[in-house]
Amino acid sequence: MLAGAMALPASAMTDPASVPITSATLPAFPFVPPPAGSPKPFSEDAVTWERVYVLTGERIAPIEGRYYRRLFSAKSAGSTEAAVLQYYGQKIGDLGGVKLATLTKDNDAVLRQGGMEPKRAFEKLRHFTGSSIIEQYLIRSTKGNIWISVGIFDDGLNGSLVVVEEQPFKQTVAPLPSIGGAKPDTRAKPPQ
Amino acid sequence: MKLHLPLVFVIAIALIACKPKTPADSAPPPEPAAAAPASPGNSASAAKPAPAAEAAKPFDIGQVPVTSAALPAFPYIGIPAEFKGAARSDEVVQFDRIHVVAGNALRPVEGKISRRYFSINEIGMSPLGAHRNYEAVLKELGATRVDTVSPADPSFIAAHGGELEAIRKKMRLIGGPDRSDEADIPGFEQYLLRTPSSNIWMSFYLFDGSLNLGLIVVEEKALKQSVALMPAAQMASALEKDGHVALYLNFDTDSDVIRPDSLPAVDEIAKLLKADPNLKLKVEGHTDTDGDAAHNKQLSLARAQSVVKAITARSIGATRLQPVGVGAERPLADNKTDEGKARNRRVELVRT
Repeated sequence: MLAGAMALPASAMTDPASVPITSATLPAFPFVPPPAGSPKPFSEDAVTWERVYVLTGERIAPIEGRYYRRLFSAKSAGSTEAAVLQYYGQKIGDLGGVKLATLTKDNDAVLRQGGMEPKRAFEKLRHFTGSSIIEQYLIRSTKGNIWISVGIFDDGLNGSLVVVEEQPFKQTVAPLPSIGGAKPDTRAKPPQ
Repeated sequence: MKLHLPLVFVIAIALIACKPKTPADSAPPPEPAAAAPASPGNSASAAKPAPAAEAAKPFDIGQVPVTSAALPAFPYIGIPAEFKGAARSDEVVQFDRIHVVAGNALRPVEGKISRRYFSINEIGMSPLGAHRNYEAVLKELGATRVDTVSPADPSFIAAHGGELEAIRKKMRLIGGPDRSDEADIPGFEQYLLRTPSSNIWMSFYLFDGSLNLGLIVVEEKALKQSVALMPAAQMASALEKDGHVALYLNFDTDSDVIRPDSLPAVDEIAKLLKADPNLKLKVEGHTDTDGDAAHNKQLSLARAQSVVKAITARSIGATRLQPVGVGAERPLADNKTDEGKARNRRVELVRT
């Protein structure tokens, strides 16, 4: 967990440390497929490393790692908001995930008590500001934590899925190769 | 103006780069020395933004450490490992003028320029990941962050003409630079890497909603003209015979900062003055005729003052030295040729 977390009431939330290490064989990132037969998502974003906020047992807190977000129709194929939440909850549960927290549009106070405007908090959670509900799950594996949250927005018409697999930052930009191959002298001289 | 050369024994120390040159009258800068990259975390010049308290102070390039680290080839920084055939734009010009942010000011610099931009979104790199990557690699090279404000900040825009587009044009930015409300994801970062022979400016910025990244590298044109160091004894002889001596020092472009490779000449001047405690000198700055006359005069005075400051820093009393800005008023040679201009850009020591 990174610095910068904000306290939230513990009510109806689960302590992440209490989530057991999963024994399930995890599929490839992002771990959870769309429901069978559902139309192609509106958009899918993925980056190799990002900082995202998640709802932990008592806080909204930043984590860093591989990030994915799927935006999709929640009403497709005659589905309902409840069915979407149930589908993802079931899939995540099958992987050993546990629901840590549920945010609804009626409990903005939870976020306000953390000192963060709800609009900003939803942005940091990577869900839409008008989301009516966000369910936060955690899968603990021997390789690290996987945070998955499901949101519903646009009056139940659309949904969002955010997946973050905690990973440390990896440097991928380097100086060009040296010509001489000699180790540089990095000592700096004082000005003038 | 014509000089009375019989009275003048001129040993040139030219005021190199006394003002910005146009591409047409300037040769490409030399390639940097080949070398390996610095080890991470070893640099004394950490790549951190200048503290807020420093923001109000004028930028002093002399305070930026000079690195002796051997550098890789221009433009110094490789492409991200995530690139697997993704599109990017790379452009290198051998000489041009561009503006960078130095402190809270726009500063013209000239030299070899690399402009690169690409979609970080397309290669799966987040804005924070991009910032961390480039911050780390720039630190590794020994660069220092020198901006105290984003060029997109309203205060900066207001202070520099009121039009962001005009600022972008001067800085050759494709778009943006974006501004993030997260302090550790700056949308613009200006770094400076000082070496004994050149200044290397590196501008990192994000644009188009931080979907894209731009990197501009400018290696300021290094001195092409090599002037042999004049020993103090030779200066003394010239002053004895002619009453003055001309020296050719290197300064940063359009700046009064003496480049490190000219500091040995300052050492010799100090040696000259220590050898003769009664000697008093006028230190005259001279320019060629390019550019605005008033600016040239001001710049020549600033450079003369800079030389005096450097000499007094070597335990010489300031009362023995008088800086004078002459501008282009007393040329030694024809200003219609590059050679003549080079002779005219100089510092002269005059016995008083």
